[in-house]
Amino acid sequence: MTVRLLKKARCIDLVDALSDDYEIVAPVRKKDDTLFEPLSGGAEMDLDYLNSPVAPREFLLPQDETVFEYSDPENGTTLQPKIKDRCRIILGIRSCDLNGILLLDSVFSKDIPDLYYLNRREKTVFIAMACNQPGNSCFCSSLKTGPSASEGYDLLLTDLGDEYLVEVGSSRGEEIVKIGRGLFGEAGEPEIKRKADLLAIALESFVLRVDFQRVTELMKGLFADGMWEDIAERCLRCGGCSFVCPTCHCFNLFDRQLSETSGKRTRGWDSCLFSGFTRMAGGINPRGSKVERIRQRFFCKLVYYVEKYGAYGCVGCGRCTDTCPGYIDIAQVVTSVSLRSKGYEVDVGAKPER
Amino acid sequence: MANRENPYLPYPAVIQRVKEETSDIKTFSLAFKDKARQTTFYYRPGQFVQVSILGLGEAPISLSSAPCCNGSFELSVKRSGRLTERLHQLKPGDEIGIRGPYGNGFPYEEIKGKNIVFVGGGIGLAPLRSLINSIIANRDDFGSLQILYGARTPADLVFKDELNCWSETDGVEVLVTVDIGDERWTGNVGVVTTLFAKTRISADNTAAFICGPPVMIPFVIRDLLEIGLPEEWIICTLERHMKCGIGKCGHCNIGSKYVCLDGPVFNYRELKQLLESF
Repeated sequence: MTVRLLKKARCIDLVDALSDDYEIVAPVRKKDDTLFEPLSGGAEMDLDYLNSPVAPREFLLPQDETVFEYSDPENGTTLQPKIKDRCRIILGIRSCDLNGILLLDSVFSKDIPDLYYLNRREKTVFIAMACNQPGNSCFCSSLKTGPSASEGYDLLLTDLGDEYLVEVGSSRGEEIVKIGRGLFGEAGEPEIKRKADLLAIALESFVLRVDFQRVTELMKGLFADGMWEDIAERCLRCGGCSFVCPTCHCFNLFDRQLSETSGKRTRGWDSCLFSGFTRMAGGINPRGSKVERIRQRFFCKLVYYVEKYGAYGCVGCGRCTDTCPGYIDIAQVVTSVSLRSKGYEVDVGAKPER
Repeated sequence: MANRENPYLPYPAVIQRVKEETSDIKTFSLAFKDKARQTTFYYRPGQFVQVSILGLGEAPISLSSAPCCNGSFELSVKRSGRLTERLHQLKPGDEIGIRGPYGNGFPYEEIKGKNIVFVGGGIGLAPLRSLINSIIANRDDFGSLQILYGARTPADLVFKDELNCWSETDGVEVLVTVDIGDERWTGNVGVVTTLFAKTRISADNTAAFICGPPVMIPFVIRDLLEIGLPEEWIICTLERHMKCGIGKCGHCNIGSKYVCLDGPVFNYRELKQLLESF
């Protein structure tokens, strides 16, 4: 493993050095929130953030994107596919979100590849950031998706105080170091040891620890359990959990007519919580009730993702819990599954104490 | 990247003929505008395509023709939503977009030598017709053929000429029923499962294919199990809301299966292992 040091004060210079070749997306402070946005100048960055309220998956699977534009000139319709090919660095992405993208990679490359996602993916470089201080809703350590990334990054930064330890994870990471040569210092065993110590402290400081053991198997036995009705009572069907989630990949395809003869086919995020998600022409809806839909969300994350892609569709970022106006808490759901399967009564209708 | 095909692009296909089956069902005969695409358009009975009308979007529609004649292909479509409403207004010479074929399709080689039972309800006969005509074109490869078909009223029966044709073919029995008869209807009245009492279905070396409204399927499965058909030879094709057709958009899952990719054809042994009802 190659390691380097980067003084915090030199981060801006690194962004400048990379700006010629890449669009740089990084956490930017906006009033009370820190959001991932393209940088217009390195000074806007806020690398001391906890996490963004929406996962940066939007830079790989945008909330709204044009699949193709169509127009109908005199002789027949023409289609103009819209596949962008801009190289981009996502700087400061957390380990949970990086793991979310690794899951999306499985979804969009399995069977029939999705060019729109994969084209962006191939042109995206990740400069990830380890977490020294997990938040109150975070439970990545329970899923081994954090607080420091173990794969998927090109460079991985760890905050050592005045400087970052930089771990190089790929040849593209090497390339970045080359572009920014002169900005990086040498690092060795003492810095690696400091990171290990900080990581140990971070692991100790998780408020939330969730036992995911056997949850897939246990859930299968609870498909018809009444606990889903209790949870559904708190669901407002807003779909917010899906929109902030790093691993939700469902989308809608729809046409927007722009003039009498032209328009575009668009794809945009969709949510399994919406009643129209499964409703067919003619009105038959296989998942017509809210209970069926909220159950679908948790079974997708904890059962179907595992069966299809070999990993939980949850990376422990805690965003869905923070976002839900009905206080539906995936960590509480997992714990309740374990208790229900042992025959205990659980109160998933109650607001979790945190 | 350049040599990967973009799975979301529809290809223009021209309507060759339109046949009015019932007041709300039409069969469209289509050919890709690009001749090379048409001659290399291979599909299996039971597969479907995404029909695209620019400005309205897409809808998944089963191929209702047998794959053997590759000069054109057919879609039999019930008018039931915005896109199919518009499709029904189109005429020969008009263009629509097609991408696919998608889905697994019916088993074919595996059922050679077997007796075959088809149970269809309403427009559910459309995907079955693709397999029925493939089997009839290769009649000697298969055992006896029984086609049980039900529609709401006599006016809702599709493929009427073919139902007659099929019944005149050696070794093919066709039984038709309607939920509600009229003054001229002399045939069977009742749901499709009432036809089981009108004939003898042997469970021996038999495969059954089912397609129809969701409410019909469990009753047909129940009766076929009672007759003694093995679970793996009770084969259903399912319908779901779909967007991408390639297992990404998440709309058509039943449990951990995608109907667009793992289906739409499932045997009962597979179906009963799914957590969600089908």
